[in-house]
Amino acid sequence: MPIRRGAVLLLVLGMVAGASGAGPSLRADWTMPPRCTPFAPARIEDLKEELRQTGYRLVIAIHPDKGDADKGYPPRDLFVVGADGSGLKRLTDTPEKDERAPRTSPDGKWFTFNYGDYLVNTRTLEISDKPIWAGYAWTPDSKRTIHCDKRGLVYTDIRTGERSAPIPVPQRVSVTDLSSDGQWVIFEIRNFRGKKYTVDFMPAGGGEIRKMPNHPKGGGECHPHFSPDAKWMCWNAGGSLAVRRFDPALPEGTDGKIVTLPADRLGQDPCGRWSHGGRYVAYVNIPHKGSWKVHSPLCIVRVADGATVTISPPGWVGHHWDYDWLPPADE
Amino acid sequence: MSDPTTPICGRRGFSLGAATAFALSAAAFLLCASCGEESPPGAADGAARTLTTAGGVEMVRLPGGWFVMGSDTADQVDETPHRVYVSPFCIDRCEVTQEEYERRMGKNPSRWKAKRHPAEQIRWADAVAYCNARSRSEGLRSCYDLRTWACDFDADGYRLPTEAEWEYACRAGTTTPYCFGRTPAKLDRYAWCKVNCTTRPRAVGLKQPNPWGLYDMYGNVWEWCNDRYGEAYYASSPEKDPRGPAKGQRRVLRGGCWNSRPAVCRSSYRLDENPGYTDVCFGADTHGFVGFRCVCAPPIAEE
Repeated sequence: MPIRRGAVLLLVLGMVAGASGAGPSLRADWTMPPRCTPFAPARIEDLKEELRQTGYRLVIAIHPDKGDADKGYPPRDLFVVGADGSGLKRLTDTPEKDERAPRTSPDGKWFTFNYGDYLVNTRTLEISDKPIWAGYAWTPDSKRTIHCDKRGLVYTDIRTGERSAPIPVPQRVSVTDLSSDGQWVIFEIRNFRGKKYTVDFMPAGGGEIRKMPNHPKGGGECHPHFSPDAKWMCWNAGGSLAVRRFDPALPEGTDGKIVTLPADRLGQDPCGRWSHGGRYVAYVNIPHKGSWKVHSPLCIVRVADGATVTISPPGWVGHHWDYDWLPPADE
Repeated sequence: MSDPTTPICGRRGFSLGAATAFALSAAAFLLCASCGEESPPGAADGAARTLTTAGGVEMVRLPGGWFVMGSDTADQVDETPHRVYVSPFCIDRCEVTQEEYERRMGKNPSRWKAKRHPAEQIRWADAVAYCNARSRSEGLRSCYDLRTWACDFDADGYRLPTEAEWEYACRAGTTTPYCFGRTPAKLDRYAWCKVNCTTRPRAVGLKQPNPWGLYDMYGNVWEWCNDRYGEAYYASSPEKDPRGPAKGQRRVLRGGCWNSRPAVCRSSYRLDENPGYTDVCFGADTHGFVGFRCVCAPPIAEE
């Protein structure tokens, strides 16, 4: 049958192309608006090689040595590293200052660090001279940030530092992300409806907090992050990395299906950051529950099959969300 | 910091670094009080004196006075300026240290362990329990009923400052947003906060004190006040010794912390928080925000 013969021929050609490395380029393009395919099959079994071919980089904040755990670690510095762990490059070297929590803009042109205090050009890696005192999560146009001030949601223009009037919220929340349509903020919240920590969301223009169903495992839930197209979210669900759909049109904001990545492979309390295309999630692998006194390497998991790689140098100590993805470097 | 000297007076067992000056300032206060005159803002400047409690904690005795509480900061609706009179009181010169907290409470909940660092990850309930423990250790009457959280302001023990007392002490007679001026340009000299990019709280008393000799009123750790928070409270609060709304769950925090931006480390900036708050997970790398300092009535010989 001609159709079957054709399919076999295509399959063989594909295998040959894959084996020779001459297949379609895996290089990541940072297109806007983003489209994410977290459960698309692996393109190369070797995750490190797949990541190498994407050209993705990450900006990471890491304590450059372990220090004395009882007295605390030395301040963090910023580095850029390839997603396959290659090409480590130091961005800051300030022993008396702490640089942390980098956040890449949706268009990939900027990242902030120290919860929105400073701005960096992702192409030149030049750091702004003056602090911008902005917020933590970016708006879709990459021109403003949003955070929850004491009286509500506040937008800050990253160029001028101008702040919007607060949009009242029912209670103060820790905004962790804004959806790609700018309509929804997601956050973790304490002491809400009888739960210690829960992940919930509300309209970015103000309104009621909408309760998202808890992970069946129970325990604290935190660090929610939208996939760049906001069709998905990942979060730390009681110590495991979990992924679910996000759809605010549904009564509970999700269809209820949860994929829980195995904690025995990923480590305890993985708080993830999605890659631009949604295939990968970066996280810190904490071997022991609740302890920061051990080596916590920066890792990447491929969502589709749970394959993981460690990309930080041995002995370095990372923290929750001290990492974010960057576009490939200019060639 | 001053050296401890011989206890001189009253039920409290204070010692005094400059007894004569202290007596003079007390006399000045009594004179002012008896004639009913109001001390203008800044008039008390120079009258603050350092004492050392029987427990070895340095406090600063502040004269009473009027001041304008709040500010006209455009984006803060809860800082409506209004005149307030605060009676004389003593306030800890520094935030309560971990060493001092552990000595009274037998435990140290702080994330960043160091004796001379401020106690942090302190809930409001922990802070008032410490106040009572410190009172008992010096034979004083506890201010707090730990079942109801009610504060007995007539007790001679230690308590958290009212919001008015805290701001009065922080302003130290100044009327500008910061005790050193209108802009935060010099904040680095006075505070551990975001301008230093510091990674954690630091030992108390390392930065420059305010004009009344109080350290770390800006930054380092947020400081619990006794008051419940009310956004509109300033519009209806009594003129003399306001003590906060009668109802409400959340309590007031003041001063900003090591992770605060300059606009937050102002004399009049108000924050409210659940009294059970110690940190949030999202700030997992930034907890260690909240501590406190204590106040008490001035030594009996002055009253």
